[in-house]
Amino acid sequence: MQLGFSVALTPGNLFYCLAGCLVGTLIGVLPGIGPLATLSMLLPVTYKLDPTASIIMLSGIFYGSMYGGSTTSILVNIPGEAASVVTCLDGYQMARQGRAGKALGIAAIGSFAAGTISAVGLNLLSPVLVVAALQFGPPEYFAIMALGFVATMFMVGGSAVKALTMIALGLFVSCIGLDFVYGTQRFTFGFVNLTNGADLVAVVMGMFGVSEIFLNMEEMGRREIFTTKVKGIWPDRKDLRDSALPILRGSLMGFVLGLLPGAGNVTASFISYGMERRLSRYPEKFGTGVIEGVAGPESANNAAVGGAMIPLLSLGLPCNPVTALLMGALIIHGVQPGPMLISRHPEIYWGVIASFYVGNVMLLILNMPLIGIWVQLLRIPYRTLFPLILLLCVVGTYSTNLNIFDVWVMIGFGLLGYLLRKRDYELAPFILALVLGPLFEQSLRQALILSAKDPMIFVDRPIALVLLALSVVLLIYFIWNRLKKTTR
Amino acid sequence: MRSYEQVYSLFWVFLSIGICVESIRLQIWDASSGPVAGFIPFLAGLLIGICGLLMLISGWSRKTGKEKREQFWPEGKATRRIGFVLAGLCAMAFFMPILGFLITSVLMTAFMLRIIEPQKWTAVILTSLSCCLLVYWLFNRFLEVSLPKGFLGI
Repeated sequence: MQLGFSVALTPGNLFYCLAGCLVGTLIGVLPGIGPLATLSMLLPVTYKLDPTASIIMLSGIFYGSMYGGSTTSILVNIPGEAASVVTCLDGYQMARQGRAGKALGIAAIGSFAAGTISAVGLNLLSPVLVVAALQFGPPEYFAIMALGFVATMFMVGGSAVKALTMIALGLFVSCIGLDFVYGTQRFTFGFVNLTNGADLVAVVMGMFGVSEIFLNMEEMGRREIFTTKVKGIWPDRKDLRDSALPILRGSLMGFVLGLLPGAGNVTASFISYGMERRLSRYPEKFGTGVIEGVAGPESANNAAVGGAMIPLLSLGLPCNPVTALLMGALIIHGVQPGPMLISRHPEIYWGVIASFYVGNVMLLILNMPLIGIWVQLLRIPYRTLFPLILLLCVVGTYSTNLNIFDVWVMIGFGLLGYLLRKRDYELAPFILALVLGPLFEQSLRQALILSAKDPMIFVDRPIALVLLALSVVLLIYFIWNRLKKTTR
Repeated sequence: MRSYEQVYSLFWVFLSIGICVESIRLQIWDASSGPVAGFIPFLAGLLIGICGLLMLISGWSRKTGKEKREQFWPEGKATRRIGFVLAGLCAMAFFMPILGFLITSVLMTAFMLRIIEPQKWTAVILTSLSCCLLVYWLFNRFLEVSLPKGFLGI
């Protein structure tokens, strides 16, 4: 960790951490644009930076957006990003009762506490997982990704069949381009620009950025903002006493859920809210403005960020679309995430972990006094904001490969994303499968080559066997659970 | 088909057939080396088809005979807004290599600001010029990303 802090506390990296936190909070505050679209838009900005600074800044955007999302949920009853949806339930009610300041204050304190707990967890668990990951070969990677896909199917909200459709579609799109073994053109239909497949940044910008704008075009209504002087942002002793256990529970649960593929900060915040309501002495009061309904979920969604970084840094496996994009950023900078990261690039590994501590302190110090500014930003009408978002999407997409074809890909996937979201298809499984698809296929084919096409290799290797067995058990459990709910 | 869900399901089924046919053409399995180029796409296509069929069958089995007509597309103004945004994006992608980034982005931004929810011309011109110049400076000058120059050289 000494190396980590020596890297994270350099003036340059401090600046980029601050920039990431500020930008992340800003996009968390502004509804209509989420961390994933912003990360993909700002990815080209990081090309000029060294890999450490790049990941520190992008990570700052990730956890900064968790802080910012609560502001708009509490003041406008519109979640700034998906993980802040439940904060609207009690946070907005607190604002209506003149307690907006306390809601914002406890959200910031809870986020800080959770961020710190998850940074400690990341610090302690990640090196342990690296040791285990050194035992991983192609069969183990295939098995853990299969487990990840099964978990994603059921962890995301809504229909599991639709989630599986999205996973399969993502796998298919990941196959477009040249076959990595034989060099065969797959599904390029003669387009030279598709030889390297559909560009990830173009797909993500389209699916999340452009489709969000199409959806927002359906409703361009006015927002009611509770801005009658947000005062008293420091919670009193009673508020802190009431919030302490929800913050602790939310942090631990969020951290664990962040580790799981497909779960992440959105699931963590919903589960935390449900848990606090169940454990409360006054569950009927939830939804009327109880502080526990803000403290728990806001802590959970922030803690999930640290949890999600563990599989990325230790195994080189992203658990959600945001870490998938972070992985893409590392690869663009010529750094291969995985078990060798800690030995080959210790400055990146420990620097990112240390920046979590630093970033959380920055966010706590910045967000309390800056609440007034964030509130003013909410007044920017969406009709003025969205052309700038579109412009950034186009430029960000184009600048990746300096190829106008990528902009057409972005538009196409934007339309596709819009049509899919209209019928409640979750896009996160698609992106996850798109990013993991090549590694999934490579692991499977390498495993079968190693074993001379004998599929028993997945059973002979104990780690692979356990992971595959877990996938099957999970699948059976989830299907049985769903059938039980349907027949009730 | 009265339900849009069923339209989607049919789409998945047809897509699946297309993917599987093309995957078979690419070859799925080789006697000496096992799975080849078409294997994973075939698997993906098969999964898409199975899911599509499941949703289709589930939709049919839930039919009561008296379905309310679902509204898929939003009401008139909203559909026009979406159409304009799509048209603006396509126009930008088409004209950017011809007119250059700066001119195209100013025109697109002004178009969006004026057409989607009409604002005063002063605000439209000021906002579009300032936003586009800022983005141009950030990407072209500061990040040294080469943005397209049109026939006017800008």
